[in-house]
Amino acid sequence: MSTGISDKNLTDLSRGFNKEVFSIYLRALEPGDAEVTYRWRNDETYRTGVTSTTRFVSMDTEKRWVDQAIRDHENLKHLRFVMVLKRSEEIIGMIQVMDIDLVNRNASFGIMIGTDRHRGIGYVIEAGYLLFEYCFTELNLERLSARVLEHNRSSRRMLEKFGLVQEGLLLNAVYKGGKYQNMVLYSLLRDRFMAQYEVDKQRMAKENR
Amino acid sequence: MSTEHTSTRKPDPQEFRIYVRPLEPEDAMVTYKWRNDEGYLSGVDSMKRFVSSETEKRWMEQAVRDHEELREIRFGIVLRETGDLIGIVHLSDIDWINGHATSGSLIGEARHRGKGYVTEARHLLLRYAFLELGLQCISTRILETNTASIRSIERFGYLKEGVMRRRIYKEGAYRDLIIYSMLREEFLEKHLPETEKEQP
Repeated sequence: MSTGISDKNLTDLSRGFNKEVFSIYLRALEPGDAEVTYRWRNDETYRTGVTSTTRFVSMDTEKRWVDQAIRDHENLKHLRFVMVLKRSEEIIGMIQVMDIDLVNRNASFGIMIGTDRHRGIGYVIEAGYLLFEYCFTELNLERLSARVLEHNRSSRRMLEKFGLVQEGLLLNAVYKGGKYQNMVLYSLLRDRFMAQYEVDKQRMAKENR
Repeated sequence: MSTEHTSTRKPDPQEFRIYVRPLEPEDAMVTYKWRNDEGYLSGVDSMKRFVSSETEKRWMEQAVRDHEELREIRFGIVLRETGDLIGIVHLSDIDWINGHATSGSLIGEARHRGKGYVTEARHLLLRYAFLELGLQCISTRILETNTASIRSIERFGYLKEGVMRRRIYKEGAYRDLIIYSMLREEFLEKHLPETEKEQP
């Protein structure tokens, strides 16, 4: 998965982060979420933005995938979270850490927003921040990477704003929409995130006092 | 009443505001809600997890079986006044040969913390461990940053054995774990009235 957001109205990153005032929170996937994620799959923007193969999925399959995702999370194989809007408790997207390698302290991550009306508001930024916080301050990871379709400019801009570094170009890495497409590989190292995080923590303590 | 006694008066379980009982599968719905409490995990040495209700149910079923087979002893802490499950006390790593186990406790919601409920529950747990299970030593490991638990465990009468250095990574930093333990006779001396001490 990767993002499909447009970049209008993105959170101003220069102001730093105060997660107390975020619009969303993350929680583990529940079996009932399959009903919602099933609907997302019919969204055209969703299909073109993600890096995975376009699939047409039955409700039955979606349910099994969600059940499997819950088990994978339980066994710390892949951690999938849903993004929940605080004001309505509506789930609007998913974010996940995959291929966790605890020896080398590496993992990759992906983000997706389910429907167009929730794109471009900055929810992805908040979810990313919460995920990075968890990965670096609790899972003790050293490096997170993400792969994005080369043409997915909005996602790339988002990752770059976050301080992710472009490491390389994966040529003809996926076949999608009638042609081979390149993917861009990004990474975020612990030190880069923690520097920002420490500043945020101090300012947050002041603001929330 | 409070069991945070400074006099020689011994705590009397009859006067406790809580009682303990084994866990039931349905308790998963309550413990699942606790996980939304930010303070819930910052004090304990286990890792922060995001847990689906499905996972919580499976874990609860496992806990019930572990208790059944005496691999672990896990009690729910129930408030007498309301009948609400508010926390858990447990014995893990039970070593029957050497008569040792580790104890642990948690209170689910912030509003129930700092009221001495754990002290009461711990009394009941250790009474069971020493007088019924015949264990000799109960130890516990506490995060160096968890000053409330350190105060509580010291007041209860556990002795500090040592420090496990840089053992836990949590909230962006490595932390030490402090080991405390209590021996059978120390518990009897400090917590049981004379009439009960003679039990084998």
